[in-house]
Amino acid sequence: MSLEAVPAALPMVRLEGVSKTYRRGTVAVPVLEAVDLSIATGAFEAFMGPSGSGKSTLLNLISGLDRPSTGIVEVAGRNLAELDDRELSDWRAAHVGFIFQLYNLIPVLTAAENVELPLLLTPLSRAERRRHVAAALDLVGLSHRVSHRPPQMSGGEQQRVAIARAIVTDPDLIIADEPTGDLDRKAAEAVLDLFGVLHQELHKTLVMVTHDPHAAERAGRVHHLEKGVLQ
Amino acid sequence: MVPLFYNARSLWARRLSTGLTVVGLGLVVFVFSAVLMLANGIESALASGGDASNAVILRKGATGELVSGVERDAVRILTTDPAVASGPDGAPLVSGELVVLVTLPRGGTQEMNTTARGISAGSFTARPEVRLVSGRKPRSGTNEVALGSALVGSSPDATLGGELHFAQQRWPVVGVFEARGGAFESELWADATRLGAAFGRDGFSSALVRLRSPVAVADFVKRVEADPRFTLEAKPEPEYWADQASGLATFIRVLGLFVSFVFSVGAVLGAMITMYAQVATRIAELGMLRAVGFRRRSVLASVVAESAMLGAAGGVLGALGALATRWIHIRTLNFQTFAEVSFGFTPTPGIVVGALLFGTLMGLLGGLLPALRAARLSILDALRA
Amino acid sequence: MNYVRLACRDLLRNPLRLTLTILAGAVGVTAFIFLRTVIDIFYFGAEAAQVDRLIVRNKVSITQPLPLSYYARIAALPGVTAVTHQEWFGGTLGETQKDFFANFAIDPSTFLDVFPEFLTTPAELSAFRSDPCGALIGEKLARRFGWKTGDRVTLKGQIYPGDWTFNVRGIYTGARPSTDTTALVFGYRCLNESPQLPKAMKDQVGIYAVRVDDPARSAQVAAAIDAMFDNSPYPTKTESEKAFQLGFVAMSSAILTSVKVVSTVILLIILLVIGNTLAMGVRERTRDIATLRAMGFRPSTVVMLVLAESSVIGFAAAALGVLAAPSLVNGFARLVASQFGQLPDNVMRGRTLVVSALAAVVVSLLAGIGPALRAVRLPVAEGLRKVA
Repeated sequence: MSLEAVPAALPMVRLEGVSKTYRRGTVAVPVLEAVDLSIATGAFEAFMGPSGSGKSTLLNLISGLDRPSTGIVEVAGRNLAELDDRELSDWRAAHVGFIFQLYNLIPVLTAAENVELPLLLTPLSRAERRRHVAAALDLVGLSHRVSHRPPQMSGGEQQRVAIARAIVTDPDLIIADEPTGDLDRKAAEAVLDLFGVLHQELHKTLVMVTHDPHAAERAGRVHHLEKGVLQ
Repeated sequence: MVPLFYNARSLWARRLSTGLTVVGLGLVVFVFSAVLMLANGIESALASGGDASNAVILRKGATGELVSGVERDAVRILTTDPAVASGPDGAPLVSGELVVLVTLPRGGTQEMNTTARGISAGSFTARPEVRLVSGRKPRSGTNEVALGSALVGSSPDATLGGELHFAQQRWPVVGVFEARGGAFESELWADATRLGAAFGRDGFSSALVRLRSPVAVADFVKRVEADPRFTLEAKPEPEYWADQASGLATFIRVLGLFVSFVFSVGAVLGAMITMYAQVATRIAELGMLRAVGFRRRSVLASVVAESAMLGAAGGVLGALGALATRWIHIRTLNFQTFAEVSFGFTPTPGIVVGALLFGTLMGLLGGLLPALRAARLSILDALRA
Repeated sequence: MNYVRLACRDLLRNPLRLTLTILAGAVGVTAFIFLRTVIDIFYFGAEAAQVDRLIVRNKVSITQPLPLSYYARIAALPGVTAVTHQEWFGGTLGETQKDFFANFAIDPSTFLDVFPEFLTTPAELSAFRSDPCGALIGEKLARRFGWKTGDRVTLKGQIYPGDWTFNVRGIYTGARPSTDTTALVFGYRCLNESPQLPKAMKDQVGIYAVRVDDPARSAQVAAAIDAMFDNSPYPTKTESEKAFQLGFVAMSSAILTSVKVVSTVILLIILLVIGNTLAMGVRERTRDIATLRAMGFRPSTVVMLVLAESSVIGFAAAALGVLAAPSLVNGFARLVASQFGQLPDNVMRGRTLVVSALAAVVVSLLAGIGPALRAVRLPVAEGLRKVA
């Protein structure tokens, strides 16, 4: 489930003629139209665009949370259309890490327990899990906050816990949806610095949707979406 | 006062929780009212078997006709009482009656205990509420029987034109009678002399005496009591039947109300859960209400009113459900008389009103603590939430 | 960290709601146990029945008597090891049914041969046998009215006219928990040889109880007894003691059915209350659940998590309910003792407790199904967008 598994020549993400249409009552609402896209393994790419441009939908398709109306979504050489819902769950557990705008931590669990959650889906022993959790929290600089709960932490700290949770299973692909959208400047910079570490030192592929030009700056490439069409 | 439609809307907004809670409350109200209707049904079934002008004569100390005995001589003496009414033929309306229990097959291997009443000439005349609906009265000196309407079909041969077998004799069914839902409808009537012969009984179990007017009953009862010629006692017929019903009705009422009470605790807790959640999700709204000038008391009243609405809705649901049981009829053993009686669920306006009040009360109780929490919120905390 | 712990943490998000739900569930379980116990009580007689005992009654109905002369004829039948007769006396302490208890006239010389579960000391037994109007009372009855050996008890006859006074010669205990120790039995001679007895009632008994040597042949013996009296003025109906008792139960079946319906209603109420709590919890956690699913938790795992929550509630409610039930049932028994008679001490059946606890857990799991399906039916992408 690491880099070696995917030949470097292959792109991490490949979209071919992907469109997505939602039904609202009897009206079909197109959200994405004929998107072709390729994201190289180890790349850090950002998507920008106004609200309703289809950024989040694109992210959902790439991360296997949603299925396209037409077209092919291939991630790490795998055509996601071949997987049923259950296989898709297992696939996400093994290959994708998520970072959300509102952190989406479980409020009743401690930082360490939150980070440990995705490890419950792996065959790791309890001791191994504890080691992985400690390493991930150390990476995001929160070793001193292990037994705190989300409501006791600042937004920046919560987002760093979320990052630790996203990387603890060592996924190929990290998906970030407006990761700095709810943070102040300083906390946002800290989060983006961590993204740099993930990208440069751990060679993760990062795909980020953002409104924030500062955040987009950190990405190697910025895509713009307008009314469901990639510019 | 916060307008009530606001509460109605917010209950509607959380339909699922509201629905589950209302159904829960409704089930409790259903049990509550069904039980009262059942107890009432038993009482009216048994107690309506009584006419205010009639007195039942039993051996002193006997609690029912089945365990009583009245000599033929005593019946003859009773006919001489001046207050006794006369039938159309001029004969005094004093009817010696023999009550025995017969076991009839109920289909399959099951059996039922049925009261057989041996009747005399005046038995039908003295009971205006007993009315033949088909066939004719049994002729005296024959084994013919008339069936109470509740018995029809309860045993394989219990139909007009059928023939019952008990006490080693055949008893052709020649008539079916109704008694305004009373206990007689669960009885079969045959000639007292023939029934006595079949059961080896000389004399009667009881005597039914019809008096000239209801006001004459009390004095007659005293005269019988004081008469040294026999050790008998007289009871006004309605009172006698009410006594027969009391045990079973009380059993059902005590059991049912106890169970309803326990259930209601559970339902009140359920309402409380829903109302706490309502308050919790609306903290900001409640803070806004306080901020624009509604007083604590108004917020309290609003939450309590909302909960009462839940309860009232449950009350309506439960009462409607209970009313639907009117069409169910039940036969069971009256362990006071060892005979089976047939009765239904009989609603009264009082029970329906009681059911609605009971539902509303449960809602009110469930809403009280959540309302206090809502009223105690500080405006600032609430707005910040 | 494991799934159960995760479920518990989720439950503890709202401790007040959890407490109220468990309490409501426990109240329901208690009520359920209570109602099942009421049903059990109807079956007490059948439960005490022995396979080697037959009951002979008048074929016409239970209230019709049988002649005393049948005794010798039944006793002479092959396969019969003992015969005794008894007569429901139906006496009361006062004018009314209040303070009701069962009382029978029995044959002191043969009673214990057929009903060996009634235990007395040899001294008490011989005192009872030698006094024509001696009586034995059950220990529970003795406790209820504070009666002791040597006391005189006067009953008002309802079937047999007049007042009847008996001398308490002993207090019997039960060999089995199902033995009824709330009754008074007295010698048949006191009744049959009394000048108070109406002539028509002399030399009559209510039923015969027969003990057979081989339970497997009891049907044959029963048939032989009935055949013997078939053409007499008093034909008999002989059935096993159990069938005899169940006959009474069958006649109350409508009441039993109502109680069963009501006990099902209570399960429904528990279902609604627990279901409501879980539905609220799931709704409030829509985004958390979507997050779990985004991370790769399978829908089945999410369903298991919600069901784990509901079964925790179910177990807690069952445990609390089972603990609370005995005092409720005993309280009720005390409340109604004067009206309907005493209940044996140990009315609560272990089996009933187990069945009720199981029912609570099953119901709580059922209650979890709806909310659990709701939790996984929402598309993940949509759930993630929900702000709690």
